[in-house]
Amino acid sequence: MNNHNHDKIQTFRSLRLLKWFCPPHLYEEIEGDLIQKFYREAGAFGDNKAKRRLLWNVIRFFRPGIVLRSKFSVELNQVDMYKSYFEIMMRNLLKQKFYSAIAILGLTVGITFALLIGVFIWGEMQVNANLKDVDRLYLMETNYKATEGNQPPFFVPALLGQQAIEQYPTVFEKYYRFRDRNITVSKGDKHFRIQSMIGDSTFFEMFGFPVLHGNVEMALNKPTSIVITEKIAQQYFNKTDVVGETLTLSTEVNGLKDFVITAVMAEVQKKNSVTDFMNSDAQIFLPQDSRGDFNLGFQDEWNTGIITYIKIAPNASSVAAAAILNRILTKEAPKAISENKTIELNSLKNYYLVTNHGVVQKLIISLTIILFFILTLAITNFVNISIASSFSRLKEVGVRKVIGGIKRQVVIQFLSESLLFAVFSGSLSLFLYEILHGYFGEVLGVSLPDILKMNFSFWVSMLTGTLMVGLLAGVYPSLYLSATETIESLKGKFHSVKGTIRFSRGLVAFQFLIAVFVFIMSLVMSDQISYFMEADLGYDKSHVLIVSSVPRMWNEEGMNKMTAAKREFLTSSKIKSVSLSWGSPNFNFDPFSATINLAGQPLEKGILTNMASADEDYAKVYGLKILEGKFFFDESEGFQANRLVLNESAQKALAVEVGDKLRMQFSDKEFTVAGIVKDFNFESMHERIKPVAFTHNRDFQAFRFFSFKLHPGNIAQSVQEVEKNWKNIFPNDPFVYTFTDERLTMAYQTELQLKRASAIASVLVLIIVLTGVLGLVSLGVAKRNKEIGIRKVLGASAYNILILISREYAVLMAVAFLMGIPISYLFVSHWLSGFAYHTDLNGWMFAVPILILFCITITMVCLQSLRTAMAEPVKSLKYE
Amino acid sequence: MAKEYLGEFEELVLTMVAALQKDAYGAAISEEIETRLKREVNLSAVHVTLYRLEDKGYIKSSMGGGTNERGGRRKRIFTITSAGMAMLRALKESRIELWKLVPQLKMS
Repeated sequence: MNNHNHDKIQTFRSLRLLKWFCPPHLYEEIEGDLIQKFYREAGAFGDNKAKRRLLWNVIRFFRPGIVLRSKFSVELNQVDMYKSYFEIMMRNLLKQKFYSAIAILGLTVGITFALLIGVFIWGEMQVNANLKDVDRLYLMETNYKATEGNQPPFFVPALLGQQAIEQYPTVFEKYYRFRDRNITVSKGDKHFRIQSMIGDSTFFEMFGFPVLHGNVEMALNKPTSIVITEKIAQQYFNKTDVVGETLTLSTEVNGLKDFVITAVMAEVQKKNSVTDFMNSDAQIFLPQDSRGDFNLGFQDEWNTGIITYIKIAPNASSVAAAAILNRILTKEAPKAISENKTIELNSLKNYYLVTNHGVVQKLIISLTIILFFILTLAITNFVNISIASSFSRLKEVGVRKVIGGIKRQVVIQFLSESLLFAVFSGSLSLFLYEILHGYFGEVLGVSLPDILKMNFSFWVSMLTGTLMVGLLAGVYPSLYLSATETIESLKGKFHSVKGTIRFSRGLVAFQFLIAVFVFIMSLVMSDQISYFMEADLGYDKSHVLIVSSVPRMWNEEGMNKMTAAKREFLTSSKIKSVSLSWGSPNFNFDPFSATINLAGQPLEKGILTNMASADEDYAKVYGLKILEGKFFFDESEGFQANRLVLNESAQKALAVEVGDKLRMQFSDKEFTVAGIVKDFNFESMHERIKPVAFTHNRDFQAFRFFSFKLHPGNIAQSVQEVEKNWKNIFPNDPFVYTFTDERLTMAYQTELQLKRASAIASVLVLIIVLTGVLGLVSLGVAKRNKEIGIRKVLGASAYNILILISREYAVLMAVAFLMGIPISYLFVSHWLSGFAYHTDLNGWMFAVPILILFCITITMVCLQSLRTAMAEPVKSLKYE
Repeated sequence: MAKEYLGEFEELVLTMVAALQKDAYGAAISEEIETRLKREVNLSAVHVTLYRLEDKGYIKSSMGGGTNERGGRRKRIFTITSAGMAMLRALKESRIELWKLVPQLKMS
């Protein structure tokens, strides 16, 4: 019985609570008294009530008379001790202002940069995290067996999602499919071009986007329903409660058509892989049934590609789900569709990071490396400075030990000093973050949140991070200082001086190694990115204005209207040439890919080709070089139907000549090759140039962009003039424009972010390394004051002295550079191999950073030691 | 000379320590107060008061044996010091002095 009770007592939660706050020497009797009281009460009121009262009694013991009784008398002593530590630290800090400033500067720069980068990385990792059940959301992607010239991977057969839900309801829960359109939306005299998603009614249940007004379940049920975001509601109505209002959309098939607003969505997280799929930033959402209005040919057929998200059941595995999808595809779909592709499931959780060649992930990894380097530099700096300046503190340690200080106390003292330094730098960094985050966000092209809006985990990680830095920075100096022999340290001799100097030199060499690595990396990155931006893309990107808000009248009447508009535009003196096309290089270039083959040969002999669509002036506007034939037809000739223009890659792959007849998948017509253009880079430079075939948009009957080649000169004025003409010709369509080079910049945005961040990092690294060296040199010179005096007496010149001091650093740098070159070579060549087109690594990319670093460092070393070298030897020798 | 004063509860606890002798520990004192004076006391208040009295030097303590009803935990037995005894006596005498000043039997 008693044993049983005993066990029960062991498990009382309340007593564990007591243990937590109760001073140990009082614990046993209080616990005993409580247990005694518990049994008495259990007899009187029953077990449960007694248990409750026990907890209450325990809680009532949480009072100053008990809690503070623990080490109160002991603690008083320690407070004094810590106070003395603090005092001595402040004294040292003020006595050695220069070194303290260097140490704090290094740490602050390091922590601030880490903070900025860390917040940025955190933000990128959080993309999609707000979607409902994001762990179970997947984007279907098609994996083609052929490697060249396929449709974008995110188009999958339209029926697949539906079949999956119907056949395997236990594995799949929901799907959402959409195609996008850029639509001109009007209300009164307000016309804007807005990105839309036209898709299934499962949109809200699937992703859980918050809604301000309207009924989520019915929102996308009728063919004329429209859901808009808060932002769009404000834009058109200046309020958000606009359910029941209508908006007029200009549709490709049925002209202007009214849609009724059924729901208003709250602003969603800016970046996500649904409404912001491929940075599209969709703001209006239309039902699947409205697709006919927008000439989106997809029916529920295997044959058409559509973007499909699928949600799997809570306990289903994605591997099994993908296998099932592939099984459905091979079983149900026509063989022509299923035979050369497999379906993959990409978790939305990391889709943002790995999409587009994993460019974001690469950025995050590179930034993490840089962050780590900068923090390491800051810490090594601190270690170096504290070791070097601690020679003057050896006596203090000796005295402490003589009067009874134990080793542990010395360790604690120096550790708490470095922790304090770190905390101080950390707080300074928070200030700096607050000042800099706007600028830094601009540089990186993102908005970094304000410090006051940070959540709890930010503060926790900030605190632990800072303490870690302080601990790492303090651990070696404190162990080293506390380990010196008392007598030795009192005499001012260092038993372990040799070892420390070697360690210290190692750290400096390490710093140089990191510095040279970061410099080379940043130089190569910046070179590669300028290569991207300035390389001969095969087309002329200067002064080309693209207007993307062309009304989509995709019929004969529309074609005629566009031709008339072109003529009207050309009357302006600012415009050199105009072209109507589907897309432009690096900006939605082609509508689809199709297999083309020589007429008379089987389809299998053909090649997958990106089908572009443009008019006869496209080559003129974009400066495409025509190698053979002509771009569709001559001006005098007039329109000729069913002609194709190929790029060199397509021509070579098909081995055709001008005049040959070609056949095209999805079309029963025969096309004549009218001309061959030189290869040009219409996609990212990450990839090789693919075969392209241009069809004329009179044959293709679809177009989206007007491209204007402007005369050089005042571009702003030219844009104004084009806009004026635009308003005359298309009064009901907004004027949405961009420049080719701007699009190019957007296409390489992540690379540009990396370039800017690494440039900033190089500057920071330089600052940290140089201040570190500065501190070390001045400490070294101060220690060798007497030696230098003796050397001078014996006849050394100032020049000899400078050589003597800088030789040490020159050797260190040489070692660091010898190690740094192969390491950075390996890294950058690996990085460059990720690009299909890249700059060649050059000797100068390694030589220049090394030379610059070497010269700056030696100059600084000399300047810093010049005063000592020039001083009269008498001064340094007379105090003996 | 500043004279030390005891609060009402302190005096009560001190008296109980003196009265219970070898059996004076936290739980027993609180139980005794509850049964004899019919007064709800807070166990933690008793403990805090005991420690305070010990700080002031009126009682001293040593660890006693454990019993099963306490789950084997030892008791802290408090005993009154001569200073404590003197204090109690002084208190009692001053009360009696004061009591004598109160006019008696004035009810009718």
